[in-house]
Amino acid sequence: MTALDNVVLFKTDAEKDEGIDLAKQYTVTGFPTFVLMNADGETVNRWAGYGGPEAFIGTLDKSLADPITIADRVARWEAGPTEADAEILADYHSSKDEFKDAVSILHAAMDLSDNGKADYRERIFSSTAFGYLKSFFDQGDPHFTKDDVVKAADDVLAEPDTKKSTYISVAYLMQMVASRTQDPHCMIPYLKAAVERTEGSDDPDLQKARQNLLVDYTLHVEGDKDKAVDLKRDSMAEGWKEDSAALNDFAWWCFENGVNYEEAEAMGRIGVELAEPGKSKAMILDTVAELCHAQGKTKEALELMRQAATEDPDDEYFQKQVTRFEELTSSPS
Amino acid sequence: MRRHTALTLVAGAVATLALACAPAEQPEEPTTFAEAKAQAADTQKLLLVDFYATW
Repeated sequence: MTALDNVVLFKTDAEKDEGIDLAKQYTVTGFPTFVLMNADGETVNRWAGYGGPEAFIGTLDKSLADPITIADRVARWEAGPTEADAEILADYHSSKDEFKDAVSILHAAMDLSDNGKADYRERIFSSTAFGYLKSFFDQGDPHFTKDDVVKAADDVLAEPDTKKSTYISVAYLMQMVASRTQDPHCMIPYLKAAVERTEGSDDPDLQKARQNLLVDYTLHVEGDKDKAVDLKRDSMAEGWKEDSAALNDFAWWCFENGVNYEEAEAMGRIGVELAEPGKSKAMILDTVAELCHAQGKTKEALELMRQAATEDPDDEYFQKQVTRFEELTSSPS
Repeated sequence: MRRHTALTLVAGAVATLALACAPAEQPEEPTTFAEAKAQAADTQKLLLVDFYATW
């Protein structure tokens, strides 16, 4: 008997058929998002991300133990805050990209908590980081500043009982912040902490995650580009050269780190051939275009971007890229 | 272009979870939202909607 026995499970592709309107109705912004509701469609809880079987079942169990609607829970929280309500309301707000609300509730919960402050600090950090990163996806106003993210990350690392897995997750999110802000230096303290604290761990998942972090560690901390590229190749999953998404990840990593352009372009071009038409093909065409431009082949880049815009005409980003490359090719060198 | 993977990274695991944790004797899985809500009302259970994306 699992928590899933006590619910009716309904899986819906948020980008197809009925799922499109349903995702809009429930303001779903990331995948996977789980919405627990009553038969009238009133939300009881919702959360984003899977997080592994244990965490998933734990969240579901907590929701089923006290299955009131979010509206009732908010009223109860306002009348008298408890950690149990905070847990659910923070997940609820995070999954709706309401990160300021989530962080505010988590701070209140941490104040209520006698122990477990480290867990709250980790959740405050991840909500802050996601809130910050979100603005890069939707071009909206950032919920937080980069300094907020760094402070939240430092608070996590300052906790004496920070778990090894937490060092890894902080480093991963700071990698994303570094990538979006094109500031690799901001991730270095967290990369170092994660690599050092997980050395010799016998947990295979941690070791795998550490191996992935070692790529950027080698590049940005040790400054060894060739070794970093070798590690990047080694870190790719088996069969990556036949997988367009993996080829895109490899090629984009090389592009954004300014290394190994020639091989990256070749891998990207294989990815273009393998990719499904539409959004996936457009993304990898964009990667190859950037790599061509980085090697001085801007006219080729423009042609690739035009193909990307044709593949995914609804995404304004590709149109902007076409305009950018048109300007670059028409301006005198 | 970097794939938007902050949350999609884990999407593949959901299908695995759903299969692994699905109870052996469950009414036929609903194929529409209306059907799912009706099944939740009939069985007096809550409804868990898993929004996923395939790209």
